Amino acid sequence: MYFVEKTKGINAAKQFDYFLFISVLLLSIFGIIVLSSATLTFANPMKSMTTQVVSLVVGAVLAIIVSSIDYKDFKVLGVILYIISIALLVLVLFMGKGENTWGSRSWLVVPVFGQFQPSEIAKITFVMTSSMFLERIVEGTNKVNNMIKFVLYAALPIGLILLQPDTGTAIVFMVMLLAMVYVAGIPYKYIWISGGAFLASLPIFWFFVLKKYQKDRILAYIFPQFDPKGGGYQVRASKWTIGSGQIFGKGLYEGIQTQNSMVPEKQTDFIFTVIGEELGFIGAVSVILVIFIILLRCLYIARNSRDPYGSFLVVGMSSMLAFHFIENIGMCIGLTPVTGIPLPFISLGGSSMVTNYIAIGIILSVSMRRKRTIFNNMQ
Amino acid sequence: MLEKLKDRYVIISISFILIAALMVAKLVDLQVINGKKNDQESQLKLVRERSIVAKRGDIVDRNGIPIAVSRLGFTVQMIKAKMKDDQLNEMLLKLVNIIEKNNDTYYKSLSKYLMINPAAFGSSIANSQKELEKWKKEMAIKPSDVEQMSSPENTFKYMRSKFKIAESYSDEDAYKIMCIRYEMLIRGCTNINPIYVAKDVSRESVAEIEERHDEFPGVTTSTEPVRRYVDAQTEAHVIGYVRGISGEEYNNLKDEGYKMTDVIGKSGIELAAEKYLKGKDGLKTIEEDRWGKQTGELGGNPAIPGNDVVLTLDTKLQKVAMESLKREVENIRAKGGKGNWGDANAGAAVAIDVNSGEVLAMASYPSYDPSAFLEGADNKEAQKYIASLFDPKNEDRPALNRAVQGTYIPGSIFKPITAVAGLEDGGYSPESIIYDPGSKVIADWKFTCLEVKLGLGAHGPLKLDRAMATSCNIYFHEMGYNTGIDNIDKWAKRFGLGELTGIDIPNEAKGTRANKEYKKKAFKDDKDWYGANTAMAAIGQLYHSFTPIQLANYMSTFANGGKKYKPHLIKRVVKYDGSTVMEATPEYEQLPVKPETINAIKPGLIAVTEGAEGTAKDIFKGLPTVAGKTGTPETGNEAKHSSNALFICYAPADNPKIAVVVVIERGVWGANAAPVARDILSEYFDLNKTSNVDDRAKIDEVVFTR
Repeated sequence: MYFVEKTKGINAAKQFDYFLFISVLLLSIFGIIVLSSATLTFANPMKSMTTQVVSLVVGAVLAIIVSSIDYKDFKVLGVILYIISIALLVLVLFMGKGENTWGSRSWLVVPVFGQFQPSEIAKITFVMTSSMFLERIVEGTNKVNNMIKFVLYAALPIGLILLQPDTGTAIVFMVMLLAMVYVAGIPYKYIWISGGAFLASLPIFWFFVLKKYQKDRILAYIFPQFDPKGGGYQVRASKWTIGSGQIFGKGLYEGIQTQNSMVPEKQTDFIFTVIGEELGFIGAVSVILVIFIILLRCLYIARNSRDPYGSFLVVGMSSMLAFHFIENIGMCIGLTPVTGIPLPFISLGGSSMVTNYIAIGIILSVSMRRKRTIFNNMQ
Repeated sequence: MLEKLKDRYVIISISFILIAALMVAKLVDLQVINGKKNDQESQLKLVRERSIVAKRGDIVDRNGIPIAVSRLGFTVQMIKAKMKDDQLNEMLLKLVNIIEKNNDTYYKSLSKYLMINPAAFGSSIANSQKELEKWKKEMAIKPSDVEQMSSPENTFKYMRSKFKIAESYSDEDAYKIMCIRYEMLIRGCTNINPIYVAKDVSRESVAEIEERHDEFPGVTTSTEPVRRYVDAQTEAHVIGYVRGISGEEYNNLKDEGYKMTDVIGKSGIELAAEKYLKGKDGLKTIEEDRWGKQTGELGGNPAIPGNDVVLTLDTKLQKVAMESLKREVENIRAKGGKGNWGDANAGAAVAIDVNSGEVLAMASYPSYDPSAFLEGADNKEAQKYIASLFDPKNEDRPALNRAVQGTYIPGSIFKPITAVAGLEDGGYSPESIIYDPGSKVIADWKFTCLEVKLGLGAHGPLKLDRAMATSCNIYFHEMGYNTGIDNIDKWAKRFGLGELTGIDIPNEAKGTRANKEYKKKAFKDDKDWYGANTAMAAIGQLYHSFTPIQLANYMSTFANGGKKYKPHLIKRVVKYDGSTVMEATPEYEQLPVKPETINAIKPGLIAVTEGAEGTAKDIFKGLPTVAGKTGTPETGNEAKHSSNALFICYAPADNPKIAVVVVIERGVWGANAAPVARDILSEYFDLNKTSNVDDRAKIDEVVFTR
């Protein structure tokens, strides 16, 4: 057991990162408004909206609570939570639901509470343990031993998620891992080598690992004009819908494509089309701006963390958010292939909203305890 | 170390900024540079999926004459276009008014739940508190709303507010709007899921809606196949009818591609051949503009029409059978006489091809018009008519297919079975003589010949042929008694009496045979079988009760020398491209009956129609030789009603082709059923285009004939 050194004497109200928190809050309130338009054509829009608002409130409160915990406590807490989340990932393999709807067993049903994805919890705990080992590695304590642990601790949840099988989520884990390893200072030569190895192994993936629908999506991404009704249809409809918003948009609740349900999954994965059509170029660019301000703020926090552990925590959490933001908007405007990844804080979905807010809570915790500019010289 | 770390943050930040810039650039391309083009293109190309209703297969007779066909009818459908409640209500009222103005009807299932003027709950919920509460809960948004629906008036008020129907509308107009809004609600009308507003409307309605297209966003018209019956009263019982699918049926069949708006066979061939007749609905993906007008077609799957069913029926023969039954029933009522209460009311006739089991005619009188079942729930007249068909107080029971569902005591037409049993197993020969002294004690029971009762004198010594021609009861009482009930029952069963024939329309009745087993089951107190029971069973009385189709098949089996075919109505099923999906192959079971036996009984049956003493003499003049048998069973109701009249026959006697059975309920005498058989045979042998009946006077003289 390692001794955890606490950051002492902080004034929570004064040092709280209002800038980040309010930015996220604004983004999610904006999300609620957009969602109210996306669900207008539903048989029962009130039900979806209620779930979303409740999740937003619960998430925001949780973020504040989590931020009040000193992030160094996660070194101990994280291992316990990690074990719990691994247990849940094993449980979901046996008791999971969702095979028929989503093609993978990734949902656990809890009486009264509802259903959730254990992989969402695992994202958080995965970052906590990975950061801990990475910190030890960069600080040079027991380097080889910790490297082995780092790899094993990371491989376990990813492996379990691949068994569900939920490739999309596994990719998110990989991205988080890569981001953390990158900022930990892995030499560039390793990056080039592994990048080269990845490219070389692509044909193996294509012929032996990827399923037909996954190949179709990639083909549709490269050749969108090919098969306009199949995989390419979604992208074509999505681009048309966003494009038809022009500069000022059709106005909230007035989107023709949106209100005629022309884009499938407009309330979740393709919610950006609603923004694009109803709020136009101005709305879409504003959202992108807010999102990247949040991401850059997170990088700033990571860079100025009091210790490497805080940096890795923030990089892990924010790389998760960044990947979601970029992949989701990218696929809506035809820059990236279609995957089932929602837009954080905006897409309909309670459990991802709560997870994202917990991630923000951890980032806030690091932010409150970060090095202040005036103390820089004393470091 | 730390410096390097910081470098990497800068690198990530820069790549973020680059990605953001790329996204903005892409948005500029989509929204600013190509925005207008994207907008125009996308508005013309809202992709929709529309189902194409497959045509139901036709039902035609053996010569290809159509009986049930499909024609194209106009339908009005709508999707939920984006508009405010008051705009929508105003549009719906305009739409309904156009439909009503042209005497068309629209979907009005609300009328089953709620009516106005006077306000009342409809038939589906009025008589069941449970159903009423269930419906209210479905309508309510909040639990407290249920309280608002305390009375029909208040429910109307609640629904009015639920659909935001303005106060300025009259109750009648509000109700019209409510009906469509209700339909939209329960059928789940959304902007991509269209619902039917009206089916089978006139050209005028469609023309006006199309003309004023701009006023009706989301409303579209199209054509769809609609069932039509040709001259259906004649074949009503055979073809059955289709009706809208019920909720329960829909739940069971939705996996097989049925939709809530489909029709489904409910009886007769329509039900029996449902799997052949039902086609496979198609789907087309189209592009529309935002007002529901089609701008392009992306493809889809065409509808596959249902298969056509070719019946064994001959519509000409069927028509003759039906008309003749009706005419004879009326004649019998009119002519009076001994034992005639003037109450003949119904009958059935079946003609069967003895060499294949194909049913050539199957008439059940009275009939009904199956087209009534095609009318909507709001057609009160049609609904009243349908209710009257199933009214238990209606003694005529027109919906009943008497040919396969009616069971009748056979009486004397059973005697050939007794004769077969007597010759095969009873030790009798055609030359055996039985003496009829007028009345005779058989098995401790005194039987009296009917002729004696009528004061006409006894038959005296009889051989089989004369006994059959005169239908002498004493002869068959004695022959049957000495042959034994088990032997008689064995042969009755072999000839398919009291057994399902397996005919290919549903709800066939089985009937019963008078045998030891039946008596044991039916009578708790008196289950022993007596010799007198055998004597009664031998003349077709007691517990015998058979359907006309069984009797026809028995006659056919007798005629062809013991080949028991499976009677059938479906000859062939043909796919839309002309290929054969199914073809009925005549299957038969050879009964172990000796040709001598058949040949020995035949002269007696010929004497029925040709002999001087024949019970149906002079009726079949000019036709190839007819072998037949009359039957006038005692039903035990003689004090109030006339006896039933039964006649079975086949022709030509020397080279049998067709067997005919006629039953007339309360037809007084067996011979009264014979003219129907005569008309059918005349048409079959194409002898008499203006078939008629004026030699009836002669028959009337022979009142005692049976």
